[in-house]
Amino acid sequence: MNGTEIPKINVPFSFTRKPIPIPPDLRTDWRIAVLLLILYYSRSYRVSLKKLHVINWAIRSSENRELLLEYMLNKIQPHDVVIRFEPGIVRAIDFAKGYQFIKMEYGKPTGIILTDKGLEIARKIDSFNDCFVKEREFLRKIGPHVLEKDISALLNWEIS
Amino acid sequence: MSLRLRQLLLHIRTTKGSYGIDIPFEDGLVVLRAENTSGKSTCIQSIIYALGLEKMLSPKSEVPLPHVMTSCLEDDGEEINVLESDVFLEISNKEKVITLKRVVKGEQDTRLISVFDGPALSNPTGNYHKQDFFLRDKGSSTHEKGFHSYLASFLGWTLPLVTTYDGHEVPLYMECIFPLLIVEQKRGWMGLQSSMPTFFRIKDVEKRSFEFLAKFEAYDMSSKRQKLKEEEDNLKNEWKSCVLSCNTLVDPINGTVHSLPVTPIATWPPITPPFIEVYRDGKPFPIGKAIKEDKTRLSQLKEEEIPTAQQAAPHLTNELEQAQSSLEEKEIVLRTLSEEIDIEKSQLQAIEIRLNALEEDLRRNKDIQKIREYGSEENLITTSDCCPVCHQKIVDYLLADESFGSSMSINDNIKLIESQKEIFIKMKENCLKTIAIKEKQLLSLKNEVNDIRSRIRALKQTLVSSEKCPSISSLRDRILLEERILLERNILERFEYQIDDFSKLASKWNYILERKKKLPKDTLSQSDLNKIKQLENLFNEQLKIYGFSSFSDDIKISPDTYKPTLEGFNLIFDLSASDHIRVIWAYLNGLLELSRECKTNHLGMLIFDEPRQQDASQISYYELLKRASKAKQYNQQVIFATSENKERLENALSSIRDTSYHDYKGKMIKRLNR
Repeated sequence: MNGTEIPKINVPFSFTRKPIPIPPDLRTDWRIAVLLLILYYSRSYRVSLKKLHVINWAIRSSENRELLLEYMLNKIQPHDVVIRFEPGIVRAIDFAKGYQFIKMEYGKPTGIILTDKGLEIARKIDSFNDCFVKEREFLRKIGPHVLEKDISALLNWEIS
Repeated sequence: MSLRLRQLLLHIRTTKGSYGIDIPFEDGLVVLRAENTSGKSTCIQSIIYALGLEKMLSPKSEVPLPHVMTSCLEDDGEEINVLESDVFLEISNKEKVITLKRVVKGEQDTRLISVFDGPALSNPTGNYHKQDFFLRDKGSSTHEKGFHSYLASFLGWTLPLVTTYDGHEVPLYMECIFPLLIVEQKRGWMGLQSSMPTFFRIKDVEKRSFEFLAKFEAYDMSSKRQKLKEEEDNLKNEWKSCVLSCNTLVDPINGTVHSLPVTPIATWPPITPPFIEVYRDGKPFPIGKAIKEDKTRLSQLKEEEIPTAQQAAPHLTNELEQAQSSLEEKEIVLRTLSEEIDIEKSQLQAIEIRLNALEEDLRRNKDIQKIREYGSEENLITTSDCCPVCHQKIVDYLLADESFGSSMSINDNIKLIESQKEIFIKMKENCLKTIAIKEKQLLSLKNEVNDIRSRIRALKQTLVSSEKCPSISSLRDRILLEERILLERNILERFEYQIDDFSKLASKWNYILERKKKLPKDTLSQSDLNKIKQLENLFNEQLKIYGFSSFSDDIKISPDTYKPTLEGFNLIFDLSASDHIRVIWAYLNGLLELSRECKTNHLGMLIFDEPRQQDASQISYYELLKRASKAKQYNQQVIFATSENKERLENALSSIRDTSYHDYKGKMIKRLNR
């Protein structure tokens, strides 16, 4: 037996799978609640898919939130920002559709809109003062500044 | 501690002139009789309103009075609009009479209560000083212009501090005490203390108010404990600031203080007394030893005559070389040290980033937890275990990979993050400590390097100066040494002076600890238990007279809840409607009677607004009233509003002495002549 060999274990053994921690933004309820809040803070409770992806990318970390806010306020194109289209949000949209909180709106641009039921739930979530504090603060700040045009510029790397 | 109602005036100004009612209240039992829906409850509610206790009636912020006071009233089938209305209530505390006025409808803010300094109702000709107090806003019970803090001092009450569910300290609001004194019709008969407002979120509020009213020593005990806790906190702060000032004291000599306890201790000095350490050549020395060595060196230097430059020259060249090489060495050490500090700092930054991320994760997980909690309360299903469309089982996360295995529950996830956070906080503390130590070392090293540099300068200067001159460098050595000794001795003196304070603090701390030990642990004292026993007797005695029929056994007053219990169960839940009323009457009247024999905080006043008719029909009030009429002998007051059959009531009252009886025909609120 040389030193690299692993000695045989001569007893019966088994593995137990331990539950794996899940990042909170990948929890279905967190994401759906935030999705509803995004819509709730958008103009006429409607948001295009493009815009949703950008906001969804930004809202999940404090650095990204600041980056997007900076961009929207000053319109200076960031050079080193890659906006990620994250599959989780697509699944969250599916679920929200399943619960009939939102519905699709096809057209130009295609987007989603809150249903009456979704609006009611969103209003309730918004009324819990101690929940989603940072997220709501961000949405409130960014609300009036997000223009479709800027979003396109951001996604297409158009240099203005 | 006493409150008597003297007179109540409801004044309503309408388009058709003034309406209202004027009721005088005498001592002893006062019976108000009027038919149903004629305005008895309006009067009782107005009393509650005038005392600023409307939170007993409803947690809403509107005026909780019937529309006859707020919008329109009926007279001979004609509807008349209310323009303005006020409630006046004359009260006394046996020594002094004051009159309260509160607007129900009108220009003035309903949150103001005006207090007239005299019997403005019974003697309206007098000239009384008027003062306004505010209500309902925060601080009504604590601010000197708050009505309830005024009323409390008028009644001779000192409102105790109690803790809320979120750990804050608030005064025991009056609204929480009065349910033991006033039973209003709406909720008052649903149970004992049933009109207790719960939105103040005071812990065990029913017990606290009972303890206060019955003046339990347990209550005093807990307030003593409270005071002790305050003293303790103050002392801890003082101690801390003393430690801080000791630490800043030694800053000018780059010293550190050792074995100084950061939290209070009871015996002073500690086993290893605190001392200062200073650095010599980068090594720590206790300050006493350092000064001693400095002194010997100084006296050595003094014995030597100051050499001239020429004499010193060979020796100096040697020294210069030594100094230069030691400078080089020190500079290297200095460089490594500052590099180390930089590394520590970047580590600290990394830890901070990680901590922030953990914090954010924790917050989000907690948001999920809350959303799920609220979700089950508010019926807002954001997720369940099954798919909303196909109703198959799904996981509660958004990853596609099904083979991912089981995921952690939210609670476990929160625990995991919290434990991680704890570790990182520890790491951060360690990091900060290391940085602080290293920076201190760096500072002292820098000073040393500066010293060596100026020494080299002095040596060089001596070497190039005229041969007859005294050696500048040895002069300099001497002066520096002298200065250092002076400074260090000075600081040491001040430090010792400062340390004296600790022995005072320690003895105070000892005193606090001793008193703390003496306080019994949250149990009732013997006199409290006696009071409960006495209340129990009074209670059972009354039940027998009143014809209580649900159980024949004696009912106990529980020392845990202070409520009547039968074999450990709260009595109030399974009683017939009429027995229910008897129990409430017997309990509250028992408390009133208890105050005749023991020292309590009871105001010697009780108000009952008769329960709705269907519950009360089977009760003969004769015995209840007869018992209550004893109030007169003890200068107490029991007010009872009823719609009992006139003949039967008058029959019953004819054989009860010491009773004032007011009978009202038709609506109580009528056109006023004044």
